[in-house]
Amino acid sequence: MGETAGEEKKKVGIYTVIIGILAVVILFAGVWALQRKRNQTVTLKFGMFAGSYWDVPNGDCYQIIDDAIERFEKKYPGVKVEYTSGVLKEDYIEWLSEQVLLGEEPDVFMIPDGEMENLISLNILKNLDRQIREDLNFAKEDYYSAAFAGGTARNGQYALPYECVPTLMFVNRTLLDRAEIMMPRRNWTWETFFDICQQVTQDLNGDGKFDQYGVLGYDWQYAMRASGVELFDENGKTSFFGDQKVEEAVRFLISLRALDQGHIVTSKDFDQGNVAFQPMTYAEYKTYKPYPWRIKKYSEFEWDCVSMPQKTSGSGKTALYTLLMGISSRTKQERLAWEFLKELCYDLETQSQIPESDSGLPVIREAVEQIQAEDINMEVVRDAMECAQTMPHFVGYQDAMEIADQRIQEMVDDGVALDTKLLKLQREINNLLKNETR
Amino acid sequence: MDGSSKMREATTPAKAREMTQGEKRESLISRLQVAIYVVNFIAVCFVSSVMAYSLWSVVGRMEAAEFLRNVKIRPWKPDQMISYSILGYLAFVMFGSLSRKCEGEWEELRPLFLEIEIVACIVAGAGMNLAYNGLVLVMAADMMRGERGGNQKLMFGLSVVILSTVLDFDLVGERFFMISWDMFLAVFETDMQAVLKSIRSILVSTNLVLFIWYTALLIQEEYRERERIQSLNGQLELANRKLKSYAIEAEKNAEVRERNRLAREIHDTLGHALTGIIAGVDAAVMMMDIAPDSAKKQLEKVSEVAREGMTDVRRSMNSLRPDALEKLELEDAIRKMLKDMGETAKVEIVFDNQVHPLNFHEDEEEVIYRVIQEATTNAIRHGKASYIKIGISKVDQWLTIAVKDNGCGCSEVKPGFGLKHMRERLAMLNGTLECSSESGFLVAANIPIRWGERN
Repeated sequence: MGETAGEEKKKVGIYTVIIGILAVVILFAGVWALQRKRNQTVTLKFGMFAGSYWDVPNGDCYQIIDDAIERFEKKYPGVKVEYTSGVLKEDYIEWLSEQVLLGEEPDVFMIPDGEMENLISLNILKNLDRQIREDLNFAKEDYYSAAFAGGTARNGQYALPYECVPTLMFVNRTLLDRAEIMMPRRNWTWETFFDICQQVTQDLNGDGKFDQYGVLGYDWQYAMRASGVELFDENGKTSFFGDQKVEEAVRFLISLRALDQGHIVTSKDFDQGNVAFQPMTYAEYKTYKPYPWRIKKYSEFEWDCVSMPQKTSGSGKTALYTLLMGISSRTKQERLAWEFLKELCYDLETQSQIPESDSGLPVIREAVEQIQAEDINMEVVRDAMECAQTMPHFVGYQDAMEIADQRIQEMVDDGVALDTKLLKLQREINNLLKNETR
Repeated sequence: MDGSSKMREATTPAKAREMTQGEKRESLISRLQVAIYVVNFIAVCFVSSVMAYSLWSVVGRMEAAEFLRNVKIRPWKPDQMISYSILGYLAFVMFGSLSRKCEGEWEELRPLFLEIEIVACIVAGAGMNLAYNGLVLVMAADMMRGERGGNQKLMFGLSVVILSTVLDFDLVGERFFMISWDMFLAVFETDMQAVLKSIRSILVSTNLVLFIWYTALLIQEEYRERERIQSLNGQLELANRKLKSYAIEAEKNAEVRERNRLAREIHDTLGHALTGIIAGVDAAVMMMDIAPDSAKKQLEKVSEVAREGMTDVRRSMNSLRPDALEKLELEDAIRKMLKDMGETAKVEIVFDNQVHPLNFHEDEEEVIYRVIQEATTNAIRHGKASYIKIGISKVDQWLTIAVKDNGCGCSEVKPGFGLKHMRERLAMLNGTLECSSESGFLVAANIPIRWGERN
């Protein structure tokens, strides 16, 4: 009897210990939760780089962000948004990587050029499909579809575009006027483009060499877009370089190159006003067109922009570059991060501010349509936006484009566009893609 | 008896020595366990801090982007790695020792603690990005120590297999954003890499050696325990065998005793009757010619004695108890016996009883009856007495029976069958017998009577 009583006592003892441990744990959890509730200030971190994404001189890059943060903090009292200022664009990926390694990456951040696929595969970017589906105040139709597609990868939305720049064709008006050539119209084609180039390629000072040229920097990628050819399938598993349209585009480039008779057109020729056309981004157009900057660059001549020529009217696309922003997959403030991302990338007020203080274009259609600029031909810009196309995001895209760049450049230089060579290129790139996705 | 007690004395010091050896081994096992814990603690701290430091140094050298491109995985936070590893390990050790403390006393709590221990082991292993899986060995050591019987053995084997699978980098590492140890090391200079690598492998092999040592000792301990139980079993069997032989011996003793008793009985009844008959017939033979009527009467008496002897023998066969005692009170039975004997042998017998009532336990009564019968028979048969006086008296608890005759007696008392039997009977009641031979023969029996219930 005495023994069992002793055992009973021991048992009671161990249960007391267990209950004690549990009580302490619960107490700590309670205190922790209470403390969390008390200092309700939630800090949201935002990652951005200083300066322009588009490599053009820019005014105060923080103005729009600061305003947006102020509005956001007013909308959500107790929330504070912080960002690290002064990170340059070229240092940004390193800075972001460091933050990731330290586990302190911002909740919302800008995605550096060409890093989207990498960030997704490192599981740093959060998939936004659920937020988009569940948020009744969000409609992706408000975006230019090409701009929105910039944040799409692996059949999901991983980022929202903040601003974008389409590609435009710079035209030297002085040169065309002198040659008595009309400015190209909307929806102009390769035919007109080639005719004008042919006409302006002249030897003006009579030294036996051409000193006036048609176009600078019109590379194969512009040609591909203009002919509307899709180079890759949606998942980036196969390429279509063997397509006949590709061959035609390469032939067109060869014929354009033939006009210069072996002379390599340089940007010096262009700056001196001796070249009629050059593709440029909207950012450059916007930066150098208005008064103060106009003096610095291209001061020798009058110039303007038109949309990119297409192979046949309405068939082609133009390149669209987007600045994307995403949410960290490790964020603890999922809802707030989404709201803040929307504040930057979806809110009309923020988006309407972009044309005033940044060199890019808003991505929201309504914001673009509100723009009233004296110096800039908005009709041209809107045309460009409608037929814009962003770069696809898939593993191996950069590598594939580098190889294609090299091979096609060789073909253009050699002056031979053989479908066999293109088929060989297609095979090479397909192999590369297969290995990349393996 | 003497021999076995000597044996016990001889085995005791040997056993004591074995016990202290066992305790020594036990304490060595405990110390080894502590050593394993310490080595693993060092390993856990080392591995997790090297990993955290490598991340910090990557950031310090501004090589973060390149590092991420190489590893292709977003690593854990450095402080997270350290805290998971060390806190997980501490919990692991704590619950491991708790579950050991529960051994035997709170067996039902052990599985719970063991499960928590496994979880803690996984947390610590994950914190180290599975770069160090020595904890599986510690776990195995812990389980092996407590392991008992079939079901637990199965559970033990299963959990070690599962643990080593879960904590295998190649199998699960990438799924949980873990980076291999080599990737972390690649951050350091080549010389440093070699140093770190060798420190880790020293820790791993130390842990392994300690584990093997520990396991070997445990197995040895278990083996010794089994051996001890075996030897105890042997001793038990020996004792059993001895006990059996004792039982056989006791049975034999009982048989001998019974045989003696039977012999006594025969002597008492048959011998007594025959003595009476012989004496009666002798007298009849002598009287036959002188007084045929008396001889006839004498022969009738003899016949009666013979018949009584016959009944006595029959009764002896049944219960070995005098028939007279069966039917009559002790005093009446004695009187009847003496009267019969006196009449048969033509001897004058006086019975002087000073104890009233003469009423005792059965065994006492039988002894008293037999002693008187024997002594009287002896007096008639050997002493050729013509007068016999029998007295019963009492002093304190002692009852004294004195039988005195006027016979020839004898110069030397040779204890024959009769005297010996009387002694034996008396000895059964712790009584004594004295006899002397001065002017006839005197037999005095003293019996300590258990006075009480009956009187």
